[in-house]
Amino acid sequence: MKRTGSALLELLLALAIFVVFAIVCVRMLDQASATAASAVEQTIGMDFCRTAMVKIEIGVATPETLSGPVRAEAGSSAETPRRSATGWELVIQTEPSDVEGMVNLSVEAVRELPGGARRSAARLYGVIPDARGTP
Amino acid sequence: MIALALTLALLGAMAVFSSTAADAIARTDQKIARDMQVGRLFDLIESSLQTAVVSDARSGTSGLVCDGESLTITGRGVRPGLTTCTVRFNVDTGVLEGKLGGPDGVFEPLAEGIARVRCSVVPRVIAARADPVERFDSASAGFLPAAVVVEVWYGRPPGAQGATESTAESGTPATPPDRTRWMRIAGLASGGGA
Repeated sequence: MKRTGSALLELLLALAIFVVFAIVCVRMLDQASATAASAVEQTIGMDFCRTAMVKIEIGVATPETLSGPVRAEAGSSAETPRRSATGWELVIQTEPSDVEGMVNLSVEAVRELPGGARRSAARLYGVIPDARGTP
Repeated sequence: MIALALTLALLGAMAVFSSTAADAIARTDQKIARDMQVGRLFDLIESSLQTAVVSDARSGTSGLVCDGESLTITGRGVRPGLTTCTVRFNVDTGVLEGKLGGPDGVFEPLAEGIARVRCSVVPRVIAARADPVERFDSASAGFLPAAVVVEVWYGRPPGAQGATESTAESGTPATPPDRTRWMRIAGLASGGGA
């Protein structure tokens, strides 16, 4: 009887250790998953930034028309990537450059998180001709 | 009996936990790997476009040929002569393949787990309007396009077992792409009028 009780106690102890170990592992997995998701977000955000930069450079869009929530483009083959449905926004700013006739361009892809929080996923800088100064 | 039951419960919980954790790790690995592979594919195309030529006068080779599912870019290389980069989508296997070099080159897998790829080009920008076309040959057109657009849908190819991607009658996936990148060709005038 004494041996049975001891075995039960050992098992309960093992169970408790396993539960603690499992909780720690789940938290580590959650953290790793969040880090992976963040890396993927950066990649997607960089796609948005580069695409926006190209559209501005070739004259398809302006910083003003691209700024704001990323949206589907009717009539274009390049629709909004699926993941944007969860909330992406482009913040595009221009400021005068030291080079005459050029402006500094900053394109930032911001991810809107659940709960209203926003996180910058990627940012790209470039120098483009100043469209307003072009005759 | 209680000890035996607890032992079995413990072993079962450990097995389920290990299996779930391994699955989660494998899924995350696969997801990241695919995103990185597609990113590298975009980088490969973008870097090839930096040196693209309209056509090779000697051999008559086109600088840029696009047919919707494949893209061939010929440009000036570091060594004398031209280098060719070809990217194509193998619809049967769901693998994006790439080849560096001419006809003698061998296609190598670049990204796996792809449902569909659409390559298109923006030939010209007129009045701030871009109309991408899937078929383009720079030698025939006599100029390089203003931009190249590559769209990638993740998943199993439409013909594969267990494919989940819905496809409209026209062959165009009903859902927006998972990855999209516009790439500009270096050296072309900005602000349209390529």
